[in-house]
Amino acid sequence: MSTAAKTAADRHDAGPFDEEFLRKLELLSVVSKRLLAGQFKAERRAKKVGSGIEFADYRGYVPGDDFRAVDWRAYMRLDRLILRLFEEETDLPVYIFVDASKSMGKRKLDYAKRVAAALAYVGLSNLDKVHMVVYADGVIEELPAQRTKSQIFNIFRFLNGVSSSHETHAGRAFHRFFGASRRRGITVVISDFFDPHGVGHSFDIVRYQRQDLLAVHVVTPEDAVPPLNGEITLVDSETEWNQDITITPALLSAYCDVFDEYCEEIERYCTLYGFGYMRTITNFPFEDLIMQVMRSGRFLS
Amino acid sequence: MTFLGMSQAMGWALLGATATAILVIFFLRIQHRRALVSSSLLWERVLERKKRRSLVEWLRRLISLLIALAIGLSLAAAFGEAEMGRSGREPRDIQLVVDNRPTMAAVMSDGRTRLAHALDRAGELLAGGSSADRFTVFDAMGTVVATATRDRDAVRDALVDIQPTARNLQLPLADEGVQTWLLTDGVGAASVPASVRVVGVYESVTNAGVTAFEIRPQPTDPYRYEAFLEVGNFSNDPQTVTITLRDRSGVQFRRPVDLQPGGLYRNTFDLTPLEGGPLRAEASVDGDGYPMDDQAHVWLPRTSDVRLTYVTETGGLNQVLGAVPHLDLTTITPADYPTVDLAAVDAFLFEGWAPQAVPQRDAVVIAPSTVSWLPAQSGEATDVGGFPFDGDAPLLRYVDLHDVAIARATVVDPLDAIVLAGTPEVPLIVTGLQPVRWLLFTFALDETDLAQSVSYPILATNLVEWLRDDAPAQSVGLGTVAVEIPNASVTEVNSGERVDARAIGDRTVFEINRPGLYMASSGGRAVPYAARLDGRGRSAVNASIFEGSDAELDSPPAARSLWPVLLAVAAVLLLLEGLTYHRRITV
Repeated sequence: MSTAAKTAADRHDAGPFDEEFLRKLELLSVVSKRLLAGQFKAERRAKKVGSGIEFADYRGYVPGDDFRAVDWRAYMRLDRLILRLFEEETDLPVYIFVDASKSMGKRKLDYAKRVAAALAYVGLSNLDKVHMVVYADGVIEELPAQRTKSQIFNIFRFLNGVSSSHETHAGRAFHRFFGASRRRGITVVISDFFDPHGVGHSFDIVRYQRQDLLAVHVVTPEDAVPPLNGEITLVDSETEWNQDITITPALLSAYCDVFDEYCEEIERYCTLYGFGYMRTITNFPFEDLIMQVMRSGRFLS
Repeated sequence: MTFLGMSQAMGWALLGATATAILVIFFLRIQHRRALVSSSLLWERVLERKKRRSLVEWLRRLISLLIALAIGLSLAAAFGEAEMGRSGREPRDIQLVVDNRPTMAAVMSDGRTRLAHALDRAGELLAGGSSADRFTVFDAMGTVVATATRDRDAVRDALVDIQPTARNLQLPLADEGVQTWLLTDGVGAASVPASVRVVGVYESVTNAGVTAFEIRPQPTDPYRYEAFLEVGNFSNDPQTVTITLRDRSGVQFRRPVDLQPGGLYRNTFDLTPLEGGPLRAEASVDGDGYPMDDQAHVWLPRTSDVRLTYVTETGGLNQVLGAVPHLDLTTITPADYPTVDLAAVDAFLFEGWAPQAVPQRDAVVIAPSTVSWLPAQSGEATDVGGFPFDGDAPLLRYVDLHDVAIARATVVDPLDAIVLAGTPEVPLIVTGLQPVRWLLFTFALDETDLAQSVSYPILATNLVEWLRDDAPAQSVGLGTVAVEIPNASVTEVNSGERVDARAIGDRTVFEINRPGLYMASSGGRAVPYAARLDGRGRSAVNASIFEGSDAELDSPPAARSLWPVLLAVAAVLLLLEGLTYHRRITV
């Protein structure tokens, strides 16, 4: 199959990622390049003592260090062994985690897929390696690193096959994914963060792996303000937990307060550890969300 | 608590059932609709916070339950028409005696009669009584107006029918434990037993009234009448009383008289110039509050001569009739009878003969031939003596027939006629009203020694009076009147209004509730009756035991119906529940 034919076939398999979506991705790609211009090109840099050519810092010698990095001139002046540190230029991977638990439902999952695809497209456009991971109560499925822009259709196909299932246990999924040796990179988690095991707990795992984190919090209007009233039985979409309850305006107000507090908890955690946090609602245009992400500098920066 | 709308047991059962239903409903889990939420995570947090306020929630729930119970029980109690009374009180038997004597017709300062006020008080007593109480209502005569009942609406309906009547106060006997309440103006009520609770409806009124108005023949001439009038001032202040005497033609006498409290005016009037008919005396004073005694009526008998046409072949009665005063006698033979001018005749006297056609005037017939309009003749009786006779009949008043002997008499069948003398088998003097008023002597005057009797002139005089058929009205009191006229129709002379009357045996009975002149008519005979208050006691409207005292309504312990209050409470609680629900004060 020729490249053109394969591309056409890939586009045919785009599924929910229709032509309109693809046009928006192209636009985002152009815009992202403009936004990122003057920063870095195809690579990300990490403060890693290595074979780079750009001086980064000094530090004292400890046994085991490479003698080639010793600054002999400084030794002659100071009579101390001091190591010169260089930044090693390397491409950083982008890990995009899409929450596919039952709580996401179709609406949030579709939105999450679009956001994930868009971020992946932007990443591939900037020659980054993009890993796609679908998780729920563990890693459900992952797509190995994609490097070229043309591989976006692999991502589309991958995401097309995703449906919501299982309960949420992000910590288990992160633990399993990062249990394997993973290079430091940017971890994007797109989820509603309804994790009974705790969002902070799961983010801690990412943090311990020294990954940079961008949390994209997807909520529906119903999550924020449930359209409920009167005598109802609440049923959890994941656990089948149910509770008879009388919804009154006061109770609804209390729920809204709790919801806001919950979102603030997540945001506070992210702020505390220097992570990015974006909250979006499903009726918010995803391309505008991507632009906000770009402007925030939390992605590809 | 008692229930007006149902029995005690049913009332409590209703309350119990309502409370049970509310509790069951309150704790019953209603069918909730399912609502799928993304996660229970946040809802659990919300519920956890609610649990922290469990005491408050418990209180809220309790308050909500109490409010729901209060609403339900209020509605149930209202439905049962609950009322509060003294706890443990036994149902009472209460006798309400409504004084409806004439003085209760006195009009008080608010324009309403004492009786109307008494009925109001009776209504208050009814309203104040418990639903379990039984009420019996009597009037002043002790007549049961409403039999013992718990149906207060029926009692109220019966009270409306009570009207003033001229009877003395007669309290009903009360069994032990029966309360008797007397609603009265206190006039003549000094002898009320202490056990009777008296409710006063008294207020002094201005009153001047006619206490006596009678006519009587003058001693010198029984065909001339005089009237005796007595008027009294029964007010508490001196009054100028205007006394008026009027007949059909108008006012015959009018004079203002100053009377001190309790003062009387007495006078006798010569009625000779007046023609017969109704005569009315009036006593009027400014602000008179008691109209019952303001008028009195009499019936003045006709004073003109009786025009009697004597139809006879022999003229045997000319001598005795010629001696009877106020009789205009004309004697003709039977042959002249068809040419008689009826306009000049008040009555006929037929002797030994009677016309076949019914005469158009009252008729006295002596030993007639057989005619259809008189009782049929069936034989003869001879040597009749010592026969019975009705000495009270006007015709035979002061007449003694014990020694009268009759050689021969015609036996007639009296049928519906009245035998005044003789026996039903051998009637001697018979009277009837159909087809005209007639009097029949079944024997000829020459067959008896009646003419030699000392009673003969008296009988002749009585006969003329019988033909005159006009006498002073009989005095009757207010209330039930029975007249000895069968199946009579009764009208009030001045107004012409008919009075409901019913025939009982050979009497006619009717009710008179106000003074006036009444005419009972039957078969061409009319008898006047003058109804008036009987005596000064009836006019002494201020002779009350409450005069000068502060009489208060002695009301029984109140047992008020609660259902209007309960409905209001339920409405307020519903409103409160609605408001507090949205403020989360209740569940």
